[in-house]
Amino acid sequence: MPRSGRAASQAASRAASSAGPSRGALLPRALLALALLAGYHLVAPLILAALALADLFLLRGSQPYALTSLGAYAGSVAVTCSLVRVVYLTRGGAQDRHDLPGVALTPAEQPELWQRMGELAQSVGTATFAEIRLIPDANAMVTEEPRLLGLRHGKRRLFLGTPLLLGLSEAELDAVLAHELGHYANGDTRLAATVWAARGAVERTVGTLNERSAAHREREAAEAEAKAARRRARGKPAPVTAGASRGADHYLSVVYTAYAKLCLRCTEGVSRRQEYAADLVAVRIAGRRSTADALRHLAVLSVATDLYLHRYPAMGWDAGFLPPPGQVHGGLAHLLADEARRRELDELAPRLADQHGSPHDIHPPLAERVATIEALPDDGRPLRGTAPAVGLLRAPHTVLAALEEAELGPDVRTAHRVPWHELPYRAHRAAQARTAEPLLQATADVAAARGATLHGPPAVGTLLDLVDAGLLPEIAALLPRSAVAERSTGRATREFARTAFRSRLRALTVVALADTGHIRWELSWSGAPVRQIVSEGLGDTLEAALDAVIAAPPATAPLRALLDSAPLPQGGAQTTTIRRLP
Amino acid sequence: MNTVVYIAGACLLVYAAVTIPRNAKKARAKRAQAKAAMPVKIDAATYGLVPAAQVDTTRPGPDPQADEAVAAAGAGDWRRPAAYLADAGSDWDLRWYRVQHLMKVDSDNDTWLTAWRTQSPGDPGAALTHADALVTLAWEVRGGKGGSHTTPEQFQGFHRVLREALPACQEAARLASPYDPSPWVAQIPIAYGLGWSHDDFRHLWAQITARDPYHFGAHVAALQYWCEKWRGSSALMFDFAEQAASSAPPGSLLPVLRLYATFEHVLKQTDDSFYEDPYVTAAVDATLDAVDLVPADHHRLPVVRHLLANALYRTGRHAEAAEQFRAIGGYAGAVPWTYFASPLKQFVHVRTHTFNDWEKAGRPSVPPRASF
Repeated sequence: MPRSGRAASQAASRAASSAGPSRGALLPRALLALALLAGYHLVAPLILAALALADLFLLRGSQPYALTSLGAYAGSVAVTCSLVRVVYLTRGGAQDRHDLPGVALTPAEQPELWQRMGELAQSVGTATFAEIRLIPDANAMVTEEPRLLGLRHGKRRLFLGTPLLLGLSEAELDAVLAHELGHYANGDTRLAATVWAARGAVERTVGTLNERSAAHREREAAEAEAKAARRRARGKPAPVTAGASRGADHYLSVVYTAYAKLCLRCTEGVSRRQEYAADLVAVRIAGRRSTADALRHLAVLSVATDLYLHRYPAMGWDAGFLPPPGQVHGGLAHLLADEARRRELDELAPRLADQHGSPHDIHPPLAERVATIEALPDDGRPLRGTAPAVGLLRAPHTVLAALEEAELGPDVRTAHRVPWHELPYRAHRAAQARTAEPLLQATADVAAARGATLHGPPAVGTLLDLVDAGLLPEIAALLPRSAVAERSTGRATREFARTAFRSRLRALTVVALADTGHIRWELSWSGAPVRQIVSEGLGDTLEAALDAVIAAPPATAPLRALLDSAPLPQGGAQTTTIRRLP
Repeated sequence: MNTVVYIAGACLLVYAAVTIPRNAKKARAKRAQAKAAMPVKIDAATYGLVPAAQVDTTRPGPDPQADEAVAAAGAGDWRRPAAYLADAGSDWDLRWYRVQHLMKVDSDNDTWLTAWRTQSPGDPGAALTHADALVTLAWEVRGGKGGSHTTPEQFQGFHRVLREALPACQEAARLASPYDPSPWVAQIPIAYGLGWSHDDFRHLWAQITARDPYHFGAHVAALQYWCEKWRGSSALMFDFAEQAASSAPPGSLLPVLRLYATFEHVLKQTDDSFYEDPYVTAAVDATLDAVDLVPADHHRLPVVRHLLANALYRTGRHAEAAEQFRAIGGYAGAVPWTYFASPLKQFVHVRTHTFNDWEKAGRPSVPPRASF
């Protein structure tokens, strides 16, 4: 394979060059880093000075109190306020202990983890951590509180994602962490922290400004909408709208975004070299194979975590159901253990890995990094530490349960905890029951209006009795109506009411069929998260029975027969087919 | 301090030197654009046209007989509409045209139809009208907007009512004369609304063509089936239009299908350049010939004239377009105008530009066409 051989040797030479840049390159880079940092701190005073100067000129000019001058003063005050607030007053915000993501793992609770991390920091040759926090993302990062404008080391924190603990082996986790620490340890990237600090500050500022300007625009839009609504209510034509004005934040954001782009462009080369250098540190600590594996697995893990968090623990959230304590994040282990899902992810991850990168992402493409690492000479080290990294954690369930509470807030305590295999059933049944609720309410109301006394809550039987008595239009009229249905007239309105009635009756029937075991929802760790299992032919029978109920002379017998069918025994799955109800 | 003032002044001058000419240019362009976008106005009376305020957007042309039947039905009398429908005899397209006209009765008021069906059980006309009323109702539930602007609830009701309309059509077919294609024509919208396969649709189509191969209403409906927005594609639509137009006998208005297909096709394009295609020129000529051959009181003539007038305007044949607009009179309730949010605005816009351009060209007379 001459092709791949050449690619590998190129990669190797790139790795070699990145590992040992010439000493002459160090000084310009150091100066650049310092200049960028200084530049960031200079932008705000420069803007303030320029504003003050402009105001001064206006004051000393011939028309200090003309309307335009007054406007200019007001504008400069607005910009100054916004600038001072964003740049100087929000700086400490992110460092607030309560704002930090995840939960802290103390040395007393987790001695093994702390020992391991301490050893790792030592072998990389850098200071150890002041704090280790567990986070839910598929990520590991090391941050440092900048001190003295980022020139001196401050408090160092390790943020460790649970997916990494669940999905990587110990050696792979070592590789990931050694890479992160490598950013701080490399002798020739001594100024990494400074570059890091400058970039972090700029990004934070741009982020805050963008947020504020978006909020400003939203406010303006809402005001304009309210004004238009008031005018409509009074029967006046819509107001002539000039384009929504933009706040001071927008213009500041333009300046800082431009500066951020400059920073990024100036440090791009440095950053890439830093990444390769940090990879080499990881190889030194964890071995060549573990590092390459870790990089590959990280890509898979981030896709898996995304999928997992969106589709699995969240499925019952609206209905107030959650998996058992610790499983909201810990359930990812089940997903990763599923063979079929594993294959799906292995196919998907390489395609997704390089799409996710934002334009500001400083990491070189994953494939290149893996190729570079694999092109290194074999270090002959055996593959050690293949045990799952979660083994480093003492009492993992307690820790994960604490993380859950920190992430999801106090609602977690009131949620019903159900085993995983029950979660789809509970979630779907609750959703269908919620859909059917207005229909039962309408049934009760109509029955009461007819003077019938209901024994217990209204049930599907009561409803069908009323339909047989020709009261379907009355019941349907009480159901909530959509905006289109509101606008319709005559026969179309009747059809909308029938549609609404039918879909809610369907939900009610589905709940009843779920209770007798004719419809089941099963959890699947591969493919679609929930599989609906219905008895053979039930789908068509159900639709036909529902159609019969809303037909011109209503026929409730088919639906009654369907509802009266005997409950299925628990193990009745042999005679069922898997298909989605239409 | 003075130096700073000088520098600031110089900056200001440079800034002004750059921006003032640029802004002036922008303003000029904007003015020109505004002028071009300004609505052209013509005095309708000068050209003997119906003023915009009096244009009727509910129908393609006058039909007092139909209006009378519709009014009677609205008043609860079913005998008049029944006689009106039966009067069409075995002109199947006229029969279909009249059924569709009866759909103009306020759909909220279906007492006449219920009375007709109960008092005259087994009446093929009543069964047919009932079936078509269901199809019309389905479309009323759906609304006329694109799929992305239609709610799942609207689609649910739409599909359900269409499914209910099918047995009604089959019942109408059972009662109808074996030579009457109408109950099958009524199924065409069901076919595209419910997404029948091409094979199923061809089967339905064979039922219709066996009874009346040149049924105008059926062809217009089938063209919708073959449209890209329903179940076909641009190519299938043009194939269908071409096949029907070229095989139609003299005296048939089917050549207008080419213009209908052209209009549907251009709707999907970003510009009107397709009208410059020689295909369109030939299609317009063929339609003009067809219009010349049918009697002046043909029930489908107004519908054809609307499409023809639009195509003539788009192809720059203003004298002929003006002629068609004069023949149309004060009616705008037809394709292509009904495809727009405001049919009246679209109709008046095209009509105004037609006469404006005709005036600018020096009021040329209609060029003679080589008769075949």
